[in-house]
Amino acid sequence: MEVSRGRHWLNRTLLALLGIAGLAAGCWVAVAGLDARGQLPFALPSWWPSGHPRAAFTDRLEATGLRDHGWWPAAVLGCLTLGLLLLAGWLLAQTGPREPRRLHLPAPGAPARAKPTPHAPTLRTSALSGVMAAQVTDLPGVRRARVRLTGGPRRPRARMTVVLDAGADPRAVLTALYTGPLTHARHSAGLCHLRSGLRLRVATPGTRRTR
Amino acid sequence: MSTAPEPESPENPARVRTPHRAWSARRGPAAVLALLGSAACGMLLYDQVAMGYGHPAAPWRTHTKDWLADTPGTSGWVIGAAVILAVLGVYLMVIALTPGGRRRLPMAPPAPSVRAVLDRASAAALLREAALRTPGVTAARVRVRGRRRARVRATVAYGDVTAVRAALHEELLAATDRLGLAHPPRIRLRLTAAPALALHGNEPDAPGAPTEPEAR
Repeated sequence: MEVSRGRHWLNRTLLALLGIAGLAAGCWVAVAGLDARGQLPFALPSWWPSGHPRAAFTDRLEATGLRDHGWWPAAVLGCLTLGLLLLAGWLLAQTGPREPRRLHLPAPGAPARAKPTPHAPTLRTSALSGVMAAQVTDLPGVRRARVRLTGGPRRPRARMTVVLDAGADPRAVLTALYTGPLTHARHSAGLCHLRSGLRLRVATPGTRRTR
Repeated sequence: MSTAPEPESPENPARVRTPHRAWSARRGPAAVLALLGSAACGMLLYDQVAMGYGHPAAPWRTHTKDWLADTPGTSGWVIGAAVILAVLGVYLMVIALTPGGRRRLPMAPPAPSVRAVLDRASAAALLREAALRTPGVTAARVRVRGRRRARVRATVAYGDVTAVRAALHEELLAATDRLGLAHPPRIRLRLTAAPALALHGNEPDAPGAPTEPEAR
């Protein structure tokens, strides 16, 4: 399934940074503890900080006298609030791309990428995605389908999950999907391209369609 | 995407490139970490504000603080937790740097703007069904491991094993083609003969008979 580039790189960068931080902190504490026990099988290099990381951290904090300042509690509160907001934003970003309420249609006769005029015609997104889902479900070999149009009102992107019948032919379904519903939707929305990410899977024996 | 695109058609396959593997968004691990982090931040923030209003620190906070102050760095618990943290860090880095999405096999796209994937388990189920359609095969297990190879183990109950193998191979090749994958998996076949008891009373293709797609 195609994913939006931004979120993918944000997630991967943050995961890598957290991973490096966890690895460094874990190694530091473990090596310092084992060294203090005398169980470390190798000698530490000369630049390695002596003492336990926790002691180093608290000593340095005490030495700077930061906690005696009047603004210290406020700074702690601010940092915690900022951290909570950023983390909550990161969590919300995982809920998936938004669907615009309406799609902009190009004015009749205008080129597809012309700027929309104030009274440009629009199309309700759920109307188009509903029609697409119905058309996909009507294709032979398709049991059910879910369609979402994400990516913005001007350049929508179709995301589809298609559940096939047990004996279906995925290649034929993909071709029919492209020549049928996708092309139809592309014409309806007046687009040159309709970028689409399709996910096909076969219904498990347990899922039967009720009628 | 070109700046002046002409409407695309399925008749110009020259522009259709082989799809590269789509990188997974890693939403699950990101959501778990963000949830844990925001929960910890929220609890600390709540307690900090409560302390600002003159309430005593929450019990969990004083307990943790005391435990951290009392436990020496040489304690097995501390070292164990540190090792777990380091292993978790390595895992996060591996997750961040590898593409993932191994359970989704890219399909050959009908047009450049289309990206399609087929679930690996679904591909295996379709291949298994094709194997069971072959006369003489009564049981089959298919494993699509990695993204390049499918291993089929079939039980032959009757008929000449060589002939069954040839028919099965043909059937599986056709089924692989019908999957429409960008990189069709290579088939590795392993046949076992059913015990002599099973020679009678086995319907050739009862278990895997394909259901008719319904027209509505």
